[in-house]
Amino acid sequence: MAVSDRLNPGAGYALMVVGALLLAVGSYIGLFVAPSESYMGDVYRILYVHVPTAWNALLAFTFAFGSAVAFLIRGDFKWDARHEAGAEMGVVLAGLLCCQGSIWAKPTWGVWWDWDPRLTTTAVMFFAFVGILALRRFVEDPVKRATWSAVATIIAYVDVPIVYFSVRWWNSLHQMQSSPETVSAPFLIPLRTNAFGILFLMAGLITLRTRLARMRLAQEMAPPLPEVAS
Amino acid sequence: MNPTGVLGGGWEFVTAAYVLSLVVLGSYALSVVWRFRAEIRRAERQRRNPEVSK
Repeated sequence: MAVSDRLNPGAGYALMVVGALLLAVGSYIGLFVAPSESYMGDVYRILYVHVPTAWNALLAFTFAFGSAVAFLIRGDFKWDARHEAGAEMGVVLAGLLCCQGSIWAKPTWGVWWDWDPRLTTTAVMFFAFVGILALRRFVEDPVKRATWSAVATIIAYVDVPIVYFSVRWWNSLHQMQSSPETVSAPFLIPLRTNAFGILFLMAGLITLRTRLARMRLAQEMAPPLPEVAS
Repeated sequence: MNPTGVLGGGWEFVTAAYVLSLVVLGSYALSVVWRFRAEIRRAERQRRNPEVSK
């Protein structure tokens, strides 16, 4: 049994509260305590929400991918519920990621959007998973819905490592990933605090969303009431 | 940007990014909680009266 199922709704709410508190603390440090960056001035502070959003979006899609694979192997609908929760969370984070990136791009690159490999593959990832959620809405049969969307998720997930490695494989406008060795300590604290904040918030939301999906599935697959003989 | 190549200002973009993040994450969190509670209420109604249609 996965953590998301063992946790009761109270634990889901608790995770969300912890995540929100961490996000508040991390954002406060990022906005008002961390020093300005040498070349980007204060605009770089967007990275304190943008980078954690990116990490967690990829993590949510990875969770959805793992759940989709597990459903196809085991055929247990609890994995379908986790798949739905992970994909929906990933879409929310990836959509937010694109908007944050656009806000970052304007003052630093001079444009709101560029068809750079990182941006393009991220947009493809976002729209692919939006399509999967749409597919789930249109298919009424729970077995077909779970199977088709699991296969679609496995195909769409091919783009996730491409998103991650795009800045290394191509000479891209988007900067490469930083590491703790290349980032000064005062910048790391808000970055990590917000990363854990979004992680806890995401864990809480996936916990509740998985339970919601399981309740709907149970309702959908419940046998019809026997007819009363006249 | 000034002649030294260092970006100046930009707080309006920073504010926009943080407000957008707050609105999106907050709205999604509220939507999940609202849908979860509505489903619990619906299940409870059906448990009390099984003849209520799905």
